[in-house]
Amino acid sequence: MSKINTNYPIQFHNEQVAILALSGDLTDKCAGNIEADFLAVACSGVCRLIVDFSNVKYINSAGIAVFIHLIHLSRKKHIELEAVG
Amino acid sequence: MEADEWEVISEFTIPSEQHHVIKAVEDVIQAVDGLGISKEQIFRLKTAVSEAVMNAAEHGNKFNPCLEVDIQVRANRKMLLISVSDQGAGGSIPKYETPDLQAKLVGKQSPRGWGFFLIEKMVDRMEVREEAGRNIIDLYLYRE
Repeated sequence: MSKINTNYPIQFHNEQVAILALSGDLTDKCAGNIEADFLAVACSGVCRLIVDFSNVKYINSAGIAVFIHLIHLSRKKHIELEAVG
Repeated sequence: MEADEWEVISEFTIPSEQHHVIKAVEDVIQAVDGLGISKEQIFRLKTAVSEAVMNAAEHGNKFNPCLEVDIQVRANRKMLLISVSDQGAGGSIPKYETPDLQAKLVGKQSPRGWGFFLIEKMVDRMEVREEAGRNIIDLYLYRE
Protein backbone atom coordinates (compact mmCIF):
# COMPACT_ATOMS: atom_id res chain seq x y z
CA MET A 1 0.00 0.00 0.00
CA SER A 2 1.30 3.45 -0.80
CA LYS A 3 1.21 6.66 1.15
CA ILE A 4 -2.19 8.33 1.20
CA ASN A 5 -2.40 11.36 -1.03
CA THR A 6 -4.83 13.84 0.47
CA ASN A 7 -4.35 16.47 -2.20
CA TYR A 8 -6.26 15.39 -5.28
CA PRO A 9 -5.90 17.72 -8.25
CA ILE A 10 -9.01 18.78 -10.12
CA GLN A 11 -8.59 19.57 -13.77
CA PHE A 12 -11.28 21.39 -15.70
CA HIS A 13 -11.36 19.94 -19.18
CA ASN A 14 -13.80 22.69 -20.21
CA GLU A 15 -16.69 24.57 -18.59
CA GLN A 16 -18.78 21.43 -18.41
CA VAL A 17 -16.33 18.64 -17.62
CA ALA A 18 -14.00 18.26 -14.63
CA ILE A 19 -11.51 15.48 -13.93
CA LEU A 20 -10.72 14.35 -10.38
CA ALA A 21 -7.49 12.35 -10.45
CA LEU A 22 -7.18 10.15 -7.36
CA SER A 23 -3.89 8.63 -6.31
CA GLY A 24 -2.42 6.54 -3.51
CA ASP A 25 -4.78 4.72 -1.17
CA LEU A 26 -8.53 5.22 -1.21
CA THR A 27 -9.68 4.76 2.39
CA ASP A 28 -11.88 6.62 4.85
CA LYS A 29 -8.99 9.02 5.49
CA CYS A 30 -9.67 10.51 2.07
CA ALA A 31 -13.40 10.97 2.55
CA GLY A 32 -13.33 14.60 3.69
CA ASN A 33 -10.93 15.69 0.94
CA ILE A 34 -12.80 13.96 -1.84
CA GLU A 35 -16.14 15.37 -0.68
CA ALA A 36 -14.62 18.88 -0.49
CA ASP A 37 -13.21 18.43 -4.00
CA PHE A 38 -16.57 17.25 -5.24
CA LEU A 39 -18.38 20.23 -3.74
CA ALA A 40 -15.86 22.57 -5.38
CA VAL A 41 -16.61 20.89 -8.69
CA ALA A 42 -20.38 21.10 -8.08
CA CYS A 43 -20.13 24.83 -7.32
CA SER A 44 -18.24 25.44 -10.54
CA GLY A 45 -21.30 24.46 -12.57
CA VAL A 46 -19.89 21.50 -14.47
CA CYS A 47 -22.35 18.82 -15.48
CA ARG A 48 -19.91 15.92 -15.80
CA LEU A 49 -17.21 14.68 -13.44
CA ILE A 50 -14.66 12.08 -14.48
CA VAL A 51 -13.02 10.27 -11.56
CA ASP A 52 -9.68 8.86 -12.65
CA PHE A 53 -8.55 5.81 -10.64
CA SER A 54 -5.42 5.17 -12.76
CA ASN A 55 -3.02 6.01 -9.93
CA VAL A 56 -5.01 4.49 -7.07
CA LYS A 57 -2.90 1.72 -5.53
CA TYR A 58 -5.30 0.36 -2.96
CA ILE A 59 -9.01 0.58 -2.10
CA ASN A 60 -10.48 -0.90 1.05
CA SER A 61 -14.12 -1.26 2.11
CA ALA A 62 -14.14 2.29 3.47
CA GLY A 63 -12.81 3.49 0.11
CA ILE A 64 -15.67 1.75 -1.64
CA ALA A 65 -18.00 3.62 0.71
CA VAL A 66 -16.30 6.92 -0.20
CA PHE A 67 -16.97 6.29 -3.88
CA ILE A 68 -20.57 5.24 -3.26
CA HIS A 69 -21.08 8.46 -1.31
CA LEU A 70 -19.63 10.35 -4.26
CA ILE A 71 -22.15 8.70 -6.59
CA HIS A 72 -24.94 9.63 -4.18
CA LEU A 73 -23.80 13.27 -4.06
CA SER A 74 -23.45 13.49 -7.82
CA ARG A 75 -27.01 12.23 -8.30
CA LYS A 76 -28.30 14.84 -5.87
CA LYS A 77 -26.42 17.58 -7.71
CA HIS A 78 -27.40 16.23 -11.14
CA ILE A 79 -23.78 15.75 -12.14
CA GLU A 80 -22.96 12.86 -14.43
CA LEU A 81 -20.21 10.76 -12.87
CA GLU A 82 -17.82 8.62 -14.86
CA ALA A 83 -15.12 6.34 -13.44
CA VAL A 84 -12.01 5.59 -15.51
CA GLY A 85 -8.66 3.92 -14.98
CA MET B 1 0.93 -32.95 11.52
CA GLU B 2 -2.54 -34.54 11.53
CA ALA B 3 -5.01 -33.04 9.06
CA ASP B 4 -7.14 -31.51 11.82
CA GLU B 5 -4.30 -30.55 14.13
CA TRP B 6 -3.59 -26.82 14.02
CA GLU B 7 0.01 -25.66 14.24
CA VAL B 8 0.63 -22.06 15.26
CA ILE B 9 2.75 -20.46 12.53
CA SER B 10 2.87 -16.93 13.87
CA GLU B 11 1.17 -14.70 16.41
CA PHE B 12 1.61 -11.02 17.04
CA THR B 13 -0.22 -7.91 18.15
CA ILE B 14 -0.53 -4.38 16.76
CA PRO B 15 -1.81 -1.16 18.33
CA SER B 16 -5.27 -0.11 17.13
CA GLU B 17 -4.09 2.48 14.64
CA GLN B 18 -4.76 2.54 10.94
CA HIS B 19 -1.15 2.73 9.82
CA HIS B 20 -0.29 -0.51 11.65
CA VAL B 21 -2.76 -2.45 9.52
CA ILE B 22 -0.43 -2.47 6.52
CA LYS B 23 2.39 -4.01 8.56
CA ALA B 24 0.02 -6.63 9.98
CA VAL B 25 -0.99 -7.70 6.48
CA GLU B 26 2.65 -7.91 5.39
CA ASP B 27 3.50 -10.02 8.46
CA VAL B 28 0.67 -12.46 7.77
CA ILE B 29 1.71 -12.81 4.12
CA GLN B 30 5.29 -13.45 5.21
CA ALA B 31 4.11 -16.04 7.74
CA VAL B 32 2.19 -18.06 5.13
CA ASP B 33 5.04 -18.05 2.62
CA GLY B 34 5.90 -21.61 1.65
CA LEU B 35 2.62 -23.06 2.94
CA GLY B 36 1.18 -23.82 -0.48
CA ILE B 37 -0.77 -20.64 -1.01
CA SER B 38 -1.20 -19.45 -4.59
CA LYS B 39 -0.65 -15.89 -5.79
CA GLU B 40 -4.38 -15.47 -6.23
CA GLN B 41 -4.98 -16.67 -2.67
CA ILE B 42 -2.33 -14.26 -1.40
CA PHE B 43 -4.15 -11.42 -3.14
CA ARG B 44 -7.44 -12.45 -1.54
CA LEU B 45 -5.80 -12.97 1.83
CA LYS B 46 -4.36 -9.45 1.79
CA THR B 47 -7.81 -7.96 1.35
CA ALA B 48 -9.45 -10.22 3.93
CA VAL B 49 -6.78 -9.69 6.60
CA SER B 50 -6.68 -5.96 5.96
CA GLU B 51 -10.46 -5.70 6.40
CA ALA B 52 -10.52 -7.94 9.48
CA VAL B 53 -7.69 -6.07 11.22
CA MET B 54 -9.19 -2.69 10.34
CA ASN B 55 -12.56 -3.88 11.64
CA ALA B 56 -11.01 -4.97 14.94
CA ALA B 57 -9.07 -1.72 15.35
CA GLU B 58 -11.95 0.55 14.36
CA HIS B 59 -15.13 -1.12 15.61
CA GLY B 60 -13.72 -3.42 18.27
CA ASN B 61 -11.13 -1.14 19.84
CA LYS B 62 -12.44 2.25 18.65
CA PHE B 63 -8.94 3.12 17.38
CA ASN B 64 -7.68 3.31 20.97
CA PRO B 65 -3.90 2.87 20.51
CA CYS B 66 -3.67 1.46 24.04
CA LEU B 67 -5.79 -1.48 22.94
CA GLU B 68 -4.29 -4.16 20.77
CA VAL B 69 -5.42 -6.30 17.90
CA ASP B 70 -4.18 -9.88 18.15
CA ILE B 71 -3.42 -11.84 15.00
CA GLN B 72 -2.74 -15.56 15.02
CA VAL B 73 -1.81 -17.61 11.96
CA ARG B 74 -2.35 -21.36 12.15
CA ALA B 75 -2.18 -24.15 9.61
CA ASN B 76 -3.03 -27.79 9.29
CA ARG B 77 -2.46 -30.02 6.29
CA LYS B 78 -5.56 -28.79 4.54
CA MET B 79 -6.19 -25.24 5.64
CA LEU B 80 -4.87 -21.95 6.90
CA LEU B 81 -6.64 -20.22 9.76
CA ILE B 82 -6.02 -16.56 10.53
CA SER B 83 -7.72 -15.34 13.70
CA VAL B 84 -8.06 -11.61 14.36
CA SER B 85 -9.29 -10.49 17.76
CA ASP B 86 -9.93 -7.15 19.41
CA GLN B 87 -10.19 -6.31 23.10
CA GLY B 88 -13.92 -5.83 22.97
CA ALA B 89 -14.08 -2.22 24.15
CA GLY B 90 -16.51 -1.46 21.35
CA GLY B 91 -18.92 -4.18 22.45
CA SER B 92 -20.20 -6.91 20.21
CA ILE B 93 -19.65 -6.64 16.47
CA PRO B 94 -22.96 -5.82 14.76
CA LYS B 95 -24.60 -8.70 12.94
CA TYR B 96 -23.36 -8.98 9.39
CA GLU B 97 -25.86 -7.96 6.73
CA THR B 98 -25.42 -8.19 2.99
CA PRO B 99 -24.98 -4.64 1.68
CA ASP B 100 -27.80 -3.27 -0.48
CA LEU B 101 -26.04 -1.33 -3.23
CA GLN B 102 -29.17 0.38 -4.55
CA ALA B 103 -30.14 1.55 -1.06
CA LYS B 104 -26.63 2.88 -0.55
CA LEU B 105 -26.64 4.72 -3.87
CA VAL B 106 -29.84 6.59 -3.02
CA GLY B 107 -28.71 7.35 0.52
CA LYS B 108 -31.22 5.07 2.27
CA GLN B 109 -28.44 2.98 3.77
CA SER B 110 -25.01 4.03 5.01
CA PRO B 111 -22.43 3.81 2.22
CA ARG B 112 -20.26 1.81 4.61
CA GLY B 113 -20.75 -1.80 5.75
CA TRP B 114 -18.68 -3.60 3.10
CA GLY B 115 -16.02 -5.12 5.35
CA PHE B 116 -17.58 -8.47 6.24
CA PHE B 117 -19.02 -8.76 2.74
CA LEU B 118 -15.55 -8.41 1.21
CA ILE B 119 -13.97 -10.78 3.73
CA GLU B 120 -16.58 -13.45 3.08
CA LYS B 121 -15.94 -13.25 -0.66
CA MET B 122 -12.16 -13.46 -0.25
CA VAL B 123 -11.82 -16.52 1.98
CA ASP B 124 -13.22 -20.04 1.91
CA ARG B 125 -14.96 -19.64 5.27
CA MET B 126 -15.43 -16.83 7.77
CA GLU B 127 -16.62 -17.16 11.35
CA VAL B 128 -17.32 -14.35 13.80
CA ARG B 129 -17.43 -15.23 17.49
CA GLU B 130 -17.04 -13.77 20.96
CA GLU B 131 -14.73 -15.26 23.54
CA ALA B 132 -13.79 -13.86 26.95
CA GLY B 133 -15.01 -10.39 26.03
CA ARG B 134 -13.17 -10.35 22.72
CA ASN B 135 -14.58 -10.30 19.21
CA ILE B 136 -12.78 -12.82 17.02
CA ILE B 137 -12.91 -13.18 13.26
CA ASP B 138 -11.65 -16.51 11.92
CA LEU B 139 -10.56 -16.63 8.28
CA TYR B 140 -10.18 -20.09 6.71
CA LEU B 141 -8.41 -20.73 3.44
CA TYR B 142 -7.80 -24.10 1.78
CA ARG B 143 -4.17 -24.83 0.95
CA GLU B 144 -3.64 -25.76 -2.70
